[in-house]
Amino acid sequence: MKSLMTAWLAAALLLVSQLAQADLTIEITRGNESATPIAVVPFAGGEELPEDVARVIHDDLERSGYFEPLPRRQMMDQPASADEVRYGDWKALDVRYLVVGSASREGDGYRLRFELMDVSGEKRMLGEVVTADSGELRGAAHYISDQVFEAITDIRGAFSTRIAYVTSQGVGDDMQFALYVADADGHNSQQVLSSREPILSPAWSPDGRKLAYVSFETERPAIYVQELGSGQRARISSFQGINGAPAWSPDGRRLAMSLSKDGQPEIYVMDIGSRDLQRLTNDSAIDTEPSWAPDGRSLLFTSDRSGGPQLYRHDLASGEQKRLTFTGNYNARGRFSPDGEALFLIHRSSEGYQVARQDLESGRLVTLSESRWDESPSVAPNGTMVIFATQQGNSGVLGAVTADGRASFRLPSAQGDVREPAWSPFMN
Amino acid sequence: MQRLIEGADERVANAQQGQQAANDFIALVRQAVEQSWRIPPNVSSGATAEISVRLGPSGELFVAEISSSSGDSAFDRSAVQAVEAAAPFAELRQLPAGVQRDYRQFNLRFRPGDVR
Repeated sequence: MKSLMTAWLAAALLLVSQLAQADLTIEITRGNESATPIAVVPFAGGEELPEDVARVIHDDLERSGYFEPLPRRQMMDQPASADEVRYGDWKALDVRYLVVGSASREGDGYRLRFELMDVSGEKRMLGEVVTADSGELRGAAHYISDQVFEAITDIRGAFSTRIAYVTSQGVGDDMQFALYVADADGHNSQQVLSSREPILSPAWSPDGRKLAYVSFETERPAIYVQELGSGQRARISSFQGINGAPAWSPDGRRLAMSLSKDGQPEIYVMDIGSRDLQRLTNDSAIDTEPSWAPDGRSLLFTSDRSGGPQLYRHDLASGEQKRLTFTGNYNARGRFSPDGEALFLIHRSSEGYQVARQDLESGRLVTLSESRWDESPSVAPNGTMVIFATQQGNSGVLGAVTADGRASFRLPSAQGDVREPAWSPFMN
Repeated sequence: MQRLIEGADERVANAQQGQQAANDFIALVRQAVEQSWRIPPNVSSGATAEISVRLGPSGELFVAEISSSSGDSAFDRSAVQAVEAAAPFAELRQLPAGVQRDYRQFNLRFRPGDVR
């Protein structure tokens, strides 16, 4: 008996010592889904600048949904460079990253020097000098935001990209429509086209230099392609009936569109050089809103062939068409994520019309926005955000939501009803 | 023989006590790290990163490094930062002296449970 006991004890001892010596692994399964705290310190010498560069960076990072910038009044200190940083002060504020910098005049423009620090690791991650003319200060700030965002997330920043959108003002016969292009934060807007008739569906060429859009200026819908630099434009489709929903192929040589010249709206692909048309759909349903897969091998479109609107994928090589959405009875205006692994779309739920994301492999659909009348989702070129049109009170405004729905915001606009946003590709 | 068993008894009791203190320490590390972990957005489901941690004799952080990457550098960095922000783990000193050394090195496996 005793020897049995001894054996057991010995085994227990062995177990205990093994437990202690095994490579202990602690599972961490919970965390805060809040954005990462960062501080963007006002740039030393920044008072002399016509733009508050640190504020622009602060706002960019905040809107990304990835970061929660520390309010300035909570800063105990305003270091201008890495060697002035007292990490303990920032740790006490639970700040994880810190952006500091300084500004000075250089010739007719400015010289901005910035550094990024990992506060908890007490490491300098990045430092650079940027020069800018006074009219380019916001652009320089967006560039710095891009560098900071990429250094921390490994995802290319999209703060230097642009958005196109359509506005309308007035009522009845006094309606005035306009097509605008602005920075991704809504600032710096420039009018591209103005008309007394509706303008719809702006779409960026893959090089970011042209817009295709639908204009009713001849009182019938027609598709135009306009160069942004020169303002030069061409009417490329004005068949009888609907000429709608232009979408550029990734190589920029073809435009997919919806045409009703043969009866119901059908999906066509036009070779822009030759204007040759290829018809992709042929049925008695409405087929519209084409959008190219990032690899250019297939197209997404909306069809009501099953009764209500649902998204389908047309494979260009085989001609096969496959239904992709099955959640609920309304899924429309699909757009691929840049990696081609997910769709962003408008889904009707009991809450209303909302921006949703569907994972292509699992088929799982998740609603992202919290508004009720959303339209026209358009994905940022880095895939982290979706911009869309929605209603605020009685007017149309632009909203944006992170690709996982964690953060959302409204874009400011001073131009009446705003609709049909389109996020540009990366510009450079 | 009897003495040996008594001695063993005592060692088992000590070991159990030690194990209890160690469990408390592990729970504390987990809680502190979870509290300071800011999970970045758009994390793919199933993302897992392992951070190898080495502590000094007073629980101060010597090293927190990625031993197994999630493939998502923002996720990896958030995990390292969570450890750095949760440190030091001064409670290490409350462990029985004999086992403190065993708990100065461990792994943390970061795997969000309900991120969509």
